[in-house]
Amino acid sequence: MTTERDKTGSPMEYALRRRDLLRATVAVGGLATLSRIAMPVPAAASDDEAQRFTLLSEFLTGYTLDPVLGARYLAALAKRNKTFSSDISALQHVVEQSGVANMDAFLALKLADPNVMKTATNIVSAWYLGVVGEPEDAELITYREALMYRPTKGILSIPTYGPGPNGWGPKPGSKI
Amino acid sequence: MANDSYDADLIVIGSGVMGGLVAASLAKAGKKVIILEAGPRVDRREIVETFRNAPVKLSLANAKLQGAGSPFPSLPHAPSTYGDYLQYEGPVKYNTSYLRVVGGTTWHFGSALWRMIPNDFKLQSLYGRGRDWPIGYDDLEAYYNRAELELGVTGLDGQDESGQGGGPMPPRSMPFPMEQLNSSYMFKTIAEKLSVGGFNPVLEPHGRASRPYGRRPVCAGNNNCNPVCPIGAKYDGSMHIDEAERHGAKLLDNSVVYKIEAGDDGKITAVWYKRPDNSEHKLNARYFVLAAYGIESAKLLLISTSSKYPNGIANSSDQVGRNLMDHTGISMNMLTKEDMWPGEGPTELLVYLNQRDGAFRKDYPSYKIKVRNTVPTAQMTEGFIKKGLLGSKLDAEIRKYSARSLNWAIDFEPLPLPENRVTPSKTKFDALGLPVPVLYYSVTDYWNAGRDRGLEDLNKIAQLLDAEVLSTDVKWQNRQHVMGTTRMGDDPKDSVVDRDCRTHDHSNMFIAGTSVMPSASCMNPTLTGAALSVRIADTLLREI
Repeated sequence: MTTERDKTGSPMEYALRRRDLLRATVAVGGLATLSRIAMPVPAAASDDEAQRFTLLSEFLTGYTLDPVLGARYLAALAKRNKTFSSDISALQHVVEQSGVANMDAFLALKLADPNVMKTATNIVSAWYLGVVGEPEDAELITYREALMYRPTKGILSIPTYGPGPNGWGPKPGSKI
Repeated sequence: MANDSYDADLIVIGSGVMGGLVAASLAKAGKKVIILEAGPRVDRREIVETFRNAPVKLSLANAKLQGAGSPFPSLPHAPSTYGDYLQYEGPVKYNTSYLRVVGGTTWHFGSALWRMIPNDFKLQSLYGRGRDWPIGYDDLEAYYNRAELELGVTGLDGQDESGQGGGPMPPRSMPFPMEQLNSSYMFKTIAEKLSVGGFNPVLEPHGRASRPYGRRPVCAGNNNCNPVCPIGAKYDGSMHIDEAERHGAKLLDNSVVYKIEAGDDGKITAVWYKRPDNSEHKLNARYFVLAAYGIESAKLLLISTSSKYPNGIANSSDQVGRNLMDHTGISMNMLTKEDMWPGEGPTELLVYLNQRDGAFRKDYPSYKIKVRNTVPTAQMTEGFIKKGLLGSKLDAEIRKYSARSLNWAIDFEPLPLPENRVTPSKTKFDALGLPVPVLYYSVTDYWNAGRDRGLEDLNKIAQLLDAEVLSTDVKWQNRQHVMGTTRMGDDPKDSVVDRDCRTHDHSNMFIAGTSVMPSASCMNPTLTGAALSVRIADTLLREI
């Protein structure tokens, strides 16, 4: 078991450094990077590939996303689908060609063929549920950061992360 | 005190709330107590972390995967009931799930802790249905008080829990140990809208602390009462096991009892248990309490056969395992036009008990209507994505349905039917070679009449809330309220235990739990089982 007392050069420390690097790079990259996405993603995704995947995911979901999670989603999805790298390349190509600013505009164009939309849906499903795979081989990437909890954030708790004693009762301030 | 010829004054089989209450009481009085538990000890923090990290959570459970959907362990010698451990027969699938761990099934219960009302004990004489109890509400009232103190019940004083909107019912000689938690916005809004139609709101009494209670902190609204309260604000049986151990009781975990032995005089002499390595061990005691849950207790009695007891222990009546009951129910999902926000606070329920009691019980069963208060997001999102929702529309739908989709459910009072029963499998065995339980279950036209009457109420509720009905499920939903399999009665020919929960056949063995209930009412049975367990402990203290 990895502990926080691990010494210099430990996997934990490496992971933390990589995490910082990934986050910093994505922060300055933005959508501009999306148009420079390179072709096939190898099975063991590099940091670059993880950043590109995260940017694509940000386009698909409309949320600012954590690239560390992006790397883990990418690995989990690629592990289950041999053609995933070419699938996302195809999706990225269609997104770039469309030239639209966001997912709603992209959906309105109804450009994509079913296979490309399937790839998009798989990626969105993973980020929303926090889980990749079918029940038999499902892998949890994150519970608390699953995007499905974002639309009700501040009103409903994510189970086990409650508001504290008496943290409910008045009308939740909300509009739909 | 035990002399050298006994391993203990009392052996308790099963470490849930029922066994824990008895064990703690006897241990506090200085008696030598051994508790045997088939499953392992579990640690709350580990269970919470397992839950958070589990890809398949309870609401998404795929029942085919052994252990999936529950953060509690599934071990070869004590398999999880989430999976294919339980076998089903009969027209209705009795797909219950209980826990085989130290502390028992209350780890994952919703913690509804209701008293029965006086008429619930007299179903046959008042309404010509089911069975009367040999005891009445007045016999149990003082024990309900003590069980409420032991379990730490939070409730609203002065409510008419018979659902008629009248004065306090049932009669209480003591206020609730803790005041009710504050109501969620949904509770207040629904209560207001339905009162117009004559539905009287009742707030469920439950086992969540509303003030620091013993070692329990105040409920923090984690909305995760099932499968595990992350902070221990909600009562579970491990709390009484801890108390028993602090007073000297000895707990043997991973110790699966597989045989109970009786001597020629009918007294129980010993119990045999297996460890995970299949080694066999024997213990004797002056008294025994069987508290292994309505399914495992019945199974254990039935497999404890010998030449003198060919039908098993405590089974001269042939009633062991029979009369299996549950509050078999239905549900309806509806979508309101304004925000309600189910899932705020704990998963406590707002209920309607207009049909809890009345002359109608000769025609259709009493029932409880409840609206679930569980964060619904995880159940709906996968479906939205599968339907092809993406972009801002996906978020809008998640938000809308989280705020406005209500799940209403009804629990019906069942009738005790001899054909509904637990038997040990003849063909399937666990890793220790012990037969797994087979559950035969069915309902009658009495239940069907309740279903039809209940659906009328649910449709009326949808109208009053100006809600669109999204789906209805009348396929005999299991409520995990096991009752009846070792029923109580005065006549040894048609019951397993007497009015004191002592087995008719064996004067030094008692059965603790909801399995002794001859009739079920329509209310969660845990508090009634707990009151009877407190009463068993008193009897034992007089005799040991």
